[in-house]
Amino acid sequence: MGAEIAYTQKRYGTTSMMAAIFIGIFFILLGHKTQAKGLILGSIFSVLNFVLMGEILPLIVGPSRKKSSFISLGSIVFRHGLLAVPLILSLKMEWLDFTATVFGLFMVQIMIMGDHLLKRFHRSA
Amino acid sequence: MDIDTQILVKSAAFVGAGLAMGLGAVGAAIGEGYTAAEANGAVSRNPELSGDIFKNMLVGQAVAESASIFALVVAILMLFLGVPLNNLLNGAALLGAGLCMGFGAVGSGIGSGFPGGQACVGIARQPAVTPRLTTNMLIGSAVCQTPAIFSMVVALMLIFMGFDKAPLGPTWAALVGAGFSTGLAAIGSGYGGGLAAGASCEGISRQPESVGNVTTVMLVGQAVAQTPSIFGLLVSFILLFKRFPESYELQSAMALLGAGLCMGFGGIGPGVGNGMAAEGAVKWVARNVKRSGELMRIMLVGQAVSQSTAIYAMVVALVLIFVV
Amino acid sequence: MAIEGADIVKAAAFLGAGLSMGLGAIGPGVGEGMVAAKACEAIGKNPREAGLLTRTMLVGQAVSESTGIYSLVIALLLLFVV
Repeated sequence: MGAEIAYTQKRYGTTSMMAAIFIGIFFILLGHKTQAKGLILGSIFSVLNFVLMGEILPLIVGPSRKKSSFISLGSIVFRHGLLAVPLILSLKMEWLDFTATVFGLFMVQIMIMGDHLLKRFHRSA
Repeated sequence: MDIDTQILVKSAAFVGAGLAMGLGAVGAAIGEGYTAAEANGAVSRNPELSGDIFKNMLVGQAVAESASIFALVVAILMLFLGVPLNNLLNGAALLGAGLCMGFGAVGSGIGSGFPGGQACVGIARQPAVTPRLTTNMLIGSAVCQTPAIFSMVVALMLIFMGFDKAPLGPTWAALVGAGFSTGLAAIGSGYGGGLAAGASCEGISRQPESVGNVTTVMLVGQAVAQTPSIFGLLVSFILLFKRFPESYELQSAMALLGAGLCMGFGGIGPGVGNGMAAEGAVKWVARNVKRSGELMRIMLVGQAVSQSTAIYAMVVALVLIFVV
Repeated sequence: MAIEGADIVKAAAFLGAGLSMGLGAIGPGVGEGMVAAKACEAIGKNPREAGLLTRTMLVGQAVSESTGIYSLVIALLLLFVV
């Protein structure tokens, strides 16, 4: 089961980072440097959040439902504390765009949805 | 007096951010707890599939947590954006934004736990349909996030719209009411949408060939379950954009606050009820695919009737805003 | 700014009207959803009786709707009569 989790982490982690870097380069070419930096920083933390989620997951499954809820609450508070870092940075720093950072934070989710929807249309076609 | 205003606005920002993040995290944690408990049963039933089950859980959890990340973004904005502290209305707006985002994330967080858990059980029951189950789970829980997105829209409008020219009079109540209206109504829609999505994952694992019909009925049912939160959004928009004449009487303020609470609470029941109707329809479409047209029709009739209470609530809210 | 007794009564009536209709809508909303879910189950099991089951469902929902209508009446009374 460890191998499967590691595979999923690697798969979506690398595609998210690649997508972020490609879109970032595109933005830089268009001259929007602050957006590119925000997007890449947001994506780094998005991937970090996803990797941590995978590491904590085996701890959540197993105990009773109440205990799982408490462990996931702790893990959410910890991981969201981490996600708050780029958001606060982008509000405080001039060279980071806030909207792009928020968009970056959802990069892994966008990749997951895109991957599955593509597969779905591929299958039905 | 000036310092009092600053302290009040500042503390409204803290309370609002705390509500947004606290409620958002609790909702997501309850949903994840449900998924984990179901996954535990699934792993013990079929231990050699634990890798697939964990993979599915991880992907589902990432999507299900979007609502609480929205809440995080709103909370951070409230704390660090530097909203001007000289107007008490900004305090009311921040409190409303916090209430809206916090309550709005609860339903989506809990609701998207249902498809996650049922997909795990489904994988253990019917390993061959794992990819379809995962895709269906992701679509279902993504639709569950829409009420949280509505809440985020209202919260961001409350944070960014300037209220310098509006009279403090009844406007403070309108702003808090706008938060309650969308936030509370979103609880029902998020939870109800989750019920429908959970039933569809269960149905696909029992009857894999029914996947197309089940997904369609799930999406239609979820769409109807969103309508109470759209009513909530509508009442919030009216409360946000209507200009209220200045008045410091208690009754005009309470009428607007009452309108928000009325639509908010009134949206919870129909949202959950519509979700239950969709759950029943989806469950039986999976078992009796040939009758899916009939089942969808009866689901829509049932949902329309259960919607009527939300419409009463909207009527009372509109009377409170426009007539009183 | 002096708040008089009558003002407080009027304000409480408005807030009460909102809460009456809002909270009163929860029960019927959930209940009617349950009725519809059960009707779907019954039709799934026995599709030939779909017409009868739809009628029964609508009657059941109309009855559970009545508490929602009570709330509506109370809310409108609070708004316009009190």
